[in-house]
Amino acid sequence: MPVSRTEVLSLRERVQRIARNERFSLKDLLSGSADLIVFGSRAAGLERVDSDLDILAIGPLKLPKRKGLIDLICVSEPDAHTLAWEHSEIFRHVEAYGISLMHERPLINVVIDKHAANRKRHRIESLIPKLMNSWDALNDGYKAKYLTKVRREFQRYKLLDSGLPVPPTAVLDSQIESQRAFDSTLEAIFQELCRDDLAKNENARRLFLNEAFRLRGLLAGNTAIVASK
Amino acid sequence: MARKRRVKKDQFDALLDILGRIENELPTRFITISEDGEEEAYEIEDFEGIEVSTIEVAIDEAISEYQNAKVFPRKKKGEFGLSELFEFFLGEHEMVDLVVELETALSGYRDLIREDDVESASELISEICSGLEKEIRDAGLKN
Repeated sequence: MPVSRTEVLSLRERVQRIARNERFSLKDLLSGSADLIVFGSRAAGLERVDSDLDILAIGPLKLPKRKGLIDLICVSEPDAHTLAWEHSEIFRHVEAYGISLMHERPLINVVIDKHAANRKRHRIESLIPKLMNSWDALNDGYKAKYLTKVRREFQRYKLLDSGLPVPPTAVLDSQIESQRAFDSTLEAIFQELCRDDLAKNENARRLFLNEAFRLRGLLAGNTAIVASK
Repeated sequence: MARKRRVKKDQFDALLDILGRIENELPTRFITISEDGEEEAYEIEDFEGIEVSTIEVAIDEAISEYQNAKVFPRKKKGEFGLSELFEFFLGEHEMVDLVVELETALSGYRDLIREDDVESASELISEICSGLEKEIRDAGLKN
């Protein structure tokens, strides 16, 4: 995503402010990295006060992956050129939405194929049975959390499967503006993902849809949409 | 930051139980097989880690269970995460920082909690459990 120098400077200032608050040395990070890329909601200007600051550091650094609001992914330069990263959901997101603090464009290479979509599909397929097994034991707040997670993961899967990068979560949430849209998104999950086991598909579909309807008040509060933007 | 509360024994026990459940879900590099009455440890070669969601669901299920048993309170909005729960009971406490570190280890890397994070999680759980035991003793709650 091409961005102006002013935008980069403004982002750098915001990043520095957060780093200072978290007692995190941005200077060390900048001097030790081949590239430092901000991605996620803060790069897209869709952040809330408590949003994470997502940073991808390309270089030899070995740093804690989380400090307060800072969520850091360190990838060495040789690793950045492996299948695991070049074909990954995160690199595709970073290429499309990330802002490099050091270069005009993020110093990463991206390969678009079915790898990321297949990985996401596998993740959803393994999550659903776990949720089905534990559903009755979870309180409503947790159920709402997982319904939101399933919905977002499915939206991400559909985008990746179409060869598109996944936008920040706030953008995903803004695509679900009505309960009807939410219901049809969840319904599509089980039609697509559980074709080979229709009985389970039907049970899961019914359970999740009924629960989505019952918990719609909680679900509405579970979005990352920023009202002012 | 929340202040420290007066924590009851069953609440401490529930916190310890949740940590035990997390530990039980963590994969191990070694399996123990009993042969002729003697236990032998074998190393698993292709140790890949565990999916983040497996632990996440186990934690949420355990907290729900203790909320339903009225050992833990319910939140008016949303639900407790693990560190929020510890903070609710202990207030500003170094153990809460350890639980935040534990959450970081359990958040994994690209959906999987890998070997080094499993090791850190085990060490942290052990440290937090010792801290809780000390709190129980200090509060004069030990049976």
